[in-house]
Amino acid sequence: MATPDRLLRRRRSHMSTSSTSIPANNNLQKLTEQQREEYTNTLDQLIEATQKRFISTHKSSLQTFTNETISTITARAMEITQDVINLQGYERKKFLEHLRLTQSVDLHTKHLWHQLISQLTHEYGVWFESLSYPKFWELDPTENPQRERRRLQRSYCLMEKRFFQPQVPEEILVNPPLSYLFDTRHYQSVTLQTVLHRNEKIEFQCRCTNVTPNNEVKGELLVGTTRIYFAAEEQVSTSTKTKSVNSAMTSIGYNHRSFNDDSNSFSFAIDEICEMYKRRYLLTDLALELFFINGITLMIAHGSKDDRDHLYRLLAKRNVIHAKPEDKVSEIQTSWKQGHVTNFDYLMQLNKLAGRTFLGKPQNLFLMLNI
Amino acid sequence: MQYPVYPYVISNYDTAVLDLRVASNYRNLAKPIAIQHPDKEEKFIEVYNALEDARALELSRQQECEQQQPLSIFGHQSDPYHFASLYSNSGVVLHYLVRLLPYTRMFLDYQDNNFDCADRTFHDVRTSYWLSSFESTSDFKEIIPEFYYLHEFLLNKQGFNFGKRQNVRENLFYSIINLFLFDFQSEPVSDVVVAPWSKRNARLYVCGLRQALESDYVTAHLHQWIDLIFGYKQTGKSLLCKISKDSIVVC
Repeated sequence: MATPDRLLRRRRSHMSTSSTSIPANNNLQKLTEQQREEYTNTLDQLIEATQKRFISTHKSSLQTFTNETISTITARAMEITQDVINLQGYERKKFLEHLRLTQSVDLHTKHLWHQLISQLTHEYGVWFESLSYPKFWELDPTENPQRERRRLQRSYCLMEKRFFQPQVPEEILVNPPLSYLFDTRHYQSVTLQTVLHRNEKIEFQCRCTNVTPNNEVKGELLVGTTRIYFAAEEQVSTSTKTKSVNSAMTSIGYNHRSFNDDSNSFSFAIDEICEMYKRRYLLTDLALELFFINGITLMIAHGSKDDRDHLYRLLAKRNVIHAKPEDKVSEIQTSWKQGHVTNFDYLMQLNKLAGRTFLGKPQNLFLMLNI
Repeated sequence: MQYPVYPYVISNYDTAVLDLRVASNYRNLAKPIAIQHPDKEEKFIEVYNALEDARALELSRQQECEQQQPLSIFGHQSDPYHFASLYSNSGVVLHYLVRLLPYTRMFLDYQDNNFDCADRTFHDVRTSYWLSSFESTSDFKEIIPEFYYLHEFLLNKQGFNFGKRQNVRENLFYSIINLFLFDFQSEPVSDVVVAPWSKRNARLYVCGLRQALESDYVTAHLHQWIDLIFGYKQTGKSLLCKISKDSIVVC
């Protein structure tokens, strides 16, 4: 800005010296004066225009520069944010992974400990302690290939004294040895932890009820690619009596049966299913009975028929259970006629095909007669 | 609960030796357990006819009154039936399995937290068969598969207190005497009394029944029973039972 001003001044001073040196008449002087004024004016205008142009270009360049800077800064800021988020996410993920791993390792260790302890303190084990061992016998729900349930297992009875003969000693609940190793309250299911750890893809999910003769457990059924998981959420039993027994069982801590608090949750491989039937539950066609190669049977009641049928189709697709009940009837009939099947087995198969099951809870007789 | 159902096979609960070659030792598999004796059959047909007559009468009366009075639910509105009970239900299952945990607990839930009175508790296989096949008019139980493989449910291993039975002979006189003479002649119910041919041994009894189930006689006649329970004769339109002219139908 300073440069054009100085230039102007120099020019003016030059002009004034030239005008004073030449003596001229008034007209000429006037003309010169006029011309000089004109010239000055144009020059001023020119200077102003140049100045304006200069300022505007300068402004615009500044503007673009600012804009550019801003956008760069924003972009960089975003990049940095992204990086920070990524870093944080990575850390978080790592932390969660770590938590999961330690938890599952922890559970696995507990499970191993439990197994070891229960083996060593078993009735025929080295460190058997009769005081803390259950004294009653209960029917084991596992079936043998003939579908007989013959095995008994130790259990707590937890019934009032008045139900027993006087000579039967009262049942005392004593914590088993080394039970302080297990914090029962924060115990979670081993199987579920493994699911979480393996990150298996869950294809179908629905709410359902696992029905056993003396109990019903509500929960979530998760169908993965190779396994099915049942996550129990609460115990719903028909009577307060059974409920209290169950809660008493879990409060004792671990015993031979429930090695963790969440013993109602379980998982099984889809390959292990050997038979599958649609069943009625509480007189509605909502349930599915699954037979496993290891002799376990499961009855799962769904909330709606659609859920049940969907699961049925899904399992039928994965597993080779194609035989229709009608085919099975004629098949078992011919093998019975030929003497390949005993009378007992034949009757058992017929019972099975007729929908009769060891599972399912007792219903009111009145209800049954009034269908 | 639709528990598996198995037939009664042996009808002999009295002799010390059981000959599986003799047909008279078996129950008649072609007929429901309730009508093992011919005179019982007549009785049920009588009841059925009476119900049918009553219904016809009711219908005619109804027509006369031009349906002024609605029929009661428990009146003669239902179709006539032969048996007012079923061959199997959850009460029956729990009745048999009362000595076996966890069924004991379920039995108590079912029975308002009390054992049944001692005389009604499952205590003697002979009595049970007698009740089902002859004596009772409302008890037509078949049996459960456990009779053929699990002897533990016949034994009171856990020492449950099922109370004392009044007497074998159900006689008012004896009952009164019992009250005064401090349980004179009253029997505590513990293990189930099994047939004499098994030497009163539950395990032998179960083995014997299994053998009887697999015997030639049963193999030859089992299809008749299957028809009754699972088969084509199961054609009643409700769970109440029906009879046709020459065959007895249960559903």
